[in-house]
Amino acid sequence: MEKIRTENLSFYYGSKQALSNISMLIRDRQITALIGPSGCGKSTFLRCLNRMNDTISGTRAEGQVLLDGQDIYSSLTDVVDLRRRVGMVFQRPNPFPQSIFDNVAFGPRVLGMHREKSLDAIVEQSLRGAVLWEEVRDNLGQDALSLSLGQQQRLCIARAIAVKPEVILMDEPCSALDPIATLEIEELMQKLQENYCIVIVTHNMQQAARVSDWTGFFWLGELVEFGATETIFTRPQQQLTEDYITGRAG
Amino acid sequence: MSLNKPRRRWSEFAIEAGIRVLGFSSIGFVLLIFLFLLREGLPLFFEVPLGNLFSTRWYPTFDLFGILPLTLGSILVTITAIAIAVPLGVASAVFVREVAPGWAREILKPMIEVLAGIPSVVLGFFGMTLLAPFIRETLGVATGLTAFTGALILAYMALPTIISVAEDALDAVPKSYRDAGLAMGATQWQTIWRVVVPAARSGMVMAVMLGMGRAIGETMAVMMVTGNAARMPLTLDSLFRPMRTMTATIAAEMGEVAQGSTHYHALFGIGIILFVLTFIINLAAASTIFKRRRRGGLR
Repeated sequence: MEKIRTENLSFYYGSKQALSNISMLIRDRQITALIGPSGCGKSTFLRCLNRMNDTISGTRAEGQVLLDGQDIYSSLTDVVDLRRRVGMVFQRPNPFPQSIFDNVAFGPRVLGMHREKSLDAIVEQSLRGAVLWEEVRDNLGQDALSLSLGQQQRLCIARAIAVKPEVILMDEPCSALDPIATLEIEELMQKLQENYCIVIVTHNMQQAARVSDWTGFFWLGELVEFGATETIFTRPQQQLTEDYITGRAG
Repeated sequence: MSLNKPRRRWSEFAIEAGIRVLGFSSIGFVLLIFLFLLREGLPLFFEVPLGNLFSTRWYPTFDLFGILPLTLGSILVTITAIAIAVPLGVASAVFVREVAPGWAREILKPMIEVLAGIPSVVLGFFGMTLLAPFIRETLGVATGLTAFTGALILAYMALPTIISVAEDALDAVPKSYRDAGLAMGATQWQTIWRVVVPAARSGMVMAVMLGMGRAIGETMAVMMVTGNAARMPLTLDSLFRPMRTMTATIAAEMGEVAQGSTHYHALFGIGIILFVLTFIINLAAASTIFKRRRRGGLR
């Protein structure tokens, strides 16, 4: 089922074009991976999907990004509500310098969700959802920065799902983590896929092959190839894709 | 090749020694000033019975050395000034760092630095000729030279310090915190108020402490606008009546006091109390910096 569709999306940092005419269909309850060399625009594309690029001055997007058929770049869009629906996990774990509980409760508090359901229940549910509950259940008051990096990243995922988003964007979520923590995050993604639409940017092609259902290959701001992960990694249509995947380019 | 010490080591040694002497001498001067303060001030506590010292009347001509009205006066003015300056200063810092567009920030920051450079006597003059009549007329009080007038001037003087220190603290908060807040569907204001400001908390505390240190030690402007009546600020309307601070007392009376007299020792005694208060404030500020350094880590 279609969740997000971009149509001829172009993006500019000042006069420099970072994305040109990207059209892509992202399906609900599937994992879509974006691969490509550094600076090819895959993170920029990801940040277009929840308009996080708006926070950088002098940037401009053209074309359309449709979330459930609605253009998020239209003037009618409430950006705050958009970001509630399209959550994000960043490259480096970035928990707030507050307690574990307060980190997860941040979103529900600012959105006033605790009026419907107790904050404790939301926090527990989110931490369980991010497979962190068993490790921290007795230390919810502990400073989040005292957790290991892998735990911090799972905390960030718990924080993101606490506001009940529909889509989770992950910008190289494992690049700061060791192999075991990486594996845990990958397993978590497989689990989250049952309820969320997930888009992940990764440098690591094995990771894309392991976890994703769909893969898009970016090169110099263009989407060279997009298709089912299995096809991309076994029978790519483009020579450039094959060269990149086999390590001859990029 | 020989392993003997080369000759130039001597010049190295001389330069190092020179720097060391200079460094220690600055500590030495502070120590000497402190000892001088103690030597001139401590006799007060032997010459004047404690009952007199902690009484409510400062009237040196009649050997009444009650320091309470002066101490409370200083504390009242300082706390009022801080209560005015902190919300304004923090809000300005948030505006300059988080809300103002780039070009406005470029103009505002140097202007705030300039504010800090206005001589206090100029502010005192301003307070005397403009602020005091304004307060007398708008509040309908007997005189415009009140504790509140002093607090306003002091707040104005503490503002640049508070703004620039608080702004630095906000600046040190990583962008990733702001991104995380926004990405979760928090508004810009919610992100600033619930993420950025708490993350900059220790720097904010330091800003308040430094502003307070500036306010409590200020002399000239306060002396010019507070009316200098040494009365106990105990009633509710004290804020809108004349009042006298410790600093103003020393400055006003030191010129006409006989050296070595009890009155002379009393003024230095006030200096000791002032020193202790400022020291406590600075210590509190330093301990928050220390805590922040120790946390270090991911910032």
